[in-house]
Amino acid sequence: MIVSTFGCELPDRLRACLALGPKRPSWIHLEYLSAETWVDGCHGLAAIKSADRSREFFFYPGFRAATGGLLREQNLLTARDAFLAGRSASNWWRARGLPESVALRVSIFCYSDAPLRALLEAMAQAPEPSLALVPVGVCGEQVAQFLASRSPASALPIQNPSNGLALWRAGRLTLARLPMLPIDEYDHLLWQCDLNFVRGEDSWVRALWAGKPMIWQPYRQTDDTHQIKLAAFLDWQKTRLPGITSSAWKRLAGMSHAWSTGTDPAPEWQAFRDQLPTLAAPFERLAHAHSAEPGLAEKLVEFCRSKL
Amino acid sequence: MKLASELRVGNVIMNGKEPMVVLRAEYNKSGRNAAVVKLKLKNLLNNSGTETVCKADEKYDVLMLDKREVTYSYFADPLYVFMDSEYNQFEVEAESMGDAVQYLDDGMPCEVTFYEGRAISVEMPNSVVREVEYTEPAVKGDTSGKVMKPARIKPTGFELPVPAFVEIGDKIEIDTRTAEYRSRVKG
Repeated sequence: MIVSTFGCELPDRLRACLALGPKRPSWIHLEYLSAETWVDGCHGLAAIKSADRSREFFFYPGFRAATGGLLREQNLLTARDAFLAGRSASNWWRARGLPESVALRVSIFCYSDAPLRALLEAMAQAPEPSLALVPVGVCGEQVAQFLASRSPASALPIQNPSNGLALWRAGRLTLARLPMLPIDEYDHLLWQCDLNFVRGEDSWVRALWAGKPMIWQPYRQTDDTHQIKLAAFLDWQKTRLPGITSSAWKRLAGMSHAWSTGTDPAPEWQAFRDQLPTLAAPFERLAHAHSAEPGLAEKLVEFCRSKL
Repeated sequence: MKLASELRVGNVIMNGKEPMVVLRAEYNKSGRNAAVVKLKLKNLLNNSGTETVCKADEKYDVLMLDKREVTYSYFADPLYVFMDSEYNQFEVEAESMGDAVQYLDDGMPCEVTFYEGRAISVEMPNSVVREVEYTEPAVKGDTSGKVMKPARIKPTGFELPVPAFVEIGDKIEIDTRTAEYRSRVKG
């Protein structure tokens, strides 16, 4: 049983060697995650590839029961809730030198074409204070431009602790440049923020389990295919966010579109921020409801068993 | 050889020693500009159907089959009957018609593909002109062509999106490969 991801293929010579083995290999293509409905009809289908006698199948991660599910460790939400309930959360935050008494904590993990500078400007000019946590190496040029556009008096480094953190204050915004975090510590960050900007696949799924309002930026593709994928995810979200008001939904969708199209999010930001308190509970309920469904690992094992 | 993304309804590919005719080919972009094709296939030896998925850049040997120019005659459930210039009739099963059923009209020219003497698929012209049987009234002033509304065409009743300025009785050109409106035809 061979599982390949991200469209990887073995060299033909190696495949030919596998074909000569005592048992015909079964090949699982673990495909890209998407909320589009066509994925449901492709999940689990076999491929015709008789050249080396292998049986190939396409396994699609996804958001609906007809797909292969989402990656999730056992008891993840239990671990999350325990972390947040005790002192671990505040100890973790404090140990990294992050400011504690901030009205709004926002983690931002995005591709280089996200309108980050414009978002930081909007946050700096907003009436309420906020903390933006952006990993080092993400949108370095935009962050540098944002800081450079502020007069020296208003954008000062306020701390440079030895743990690799850099902090800046600009208007009502505190900007924290974090070192890259291992996946479990990234979870700790997501769990403690009020809003998470994520991208691609892995952080997208981690943010879902964090149960906090999130904005997803899909990987940019040709022919604006990524917009189709964003629309599909928003459609799915809309059906799975219980109790969300139409005005909150409108702001969430508007912010999502601005973020993924590179449009200045400033006109959307304040109205969207005002809706965050009403979005919190629906996202938490979504995380809990979806965690009751079988995860990807469980479904993949079951699928492999059925093909052996 | 053809890439999976180039396969069309009526193409016949080999699965081992079994010829499979493509009944439907659905192209979808997955992630990072990769793409897959979902194929609905029929085994020409035993008529069994199957659905598969493959990467869009997968290569397949496509059998070169006999083709013949025909015109559409009539429907004798469950078969569609075509005729060539020598008045020979050929029957095609409904399942093998693909999207052609959406555009059929009496006397319409098509190309039928044969495998071992059996008609297995029908290929349409790349575009056809059809009259609009029904659509909502045109909105005055909206000539941009960007606002779309559904329209039903004669004689099949197939529905597709058309610009808001299209009216009942208008003749429209349709791209049969994508089922998209191309233009309004005068006269």
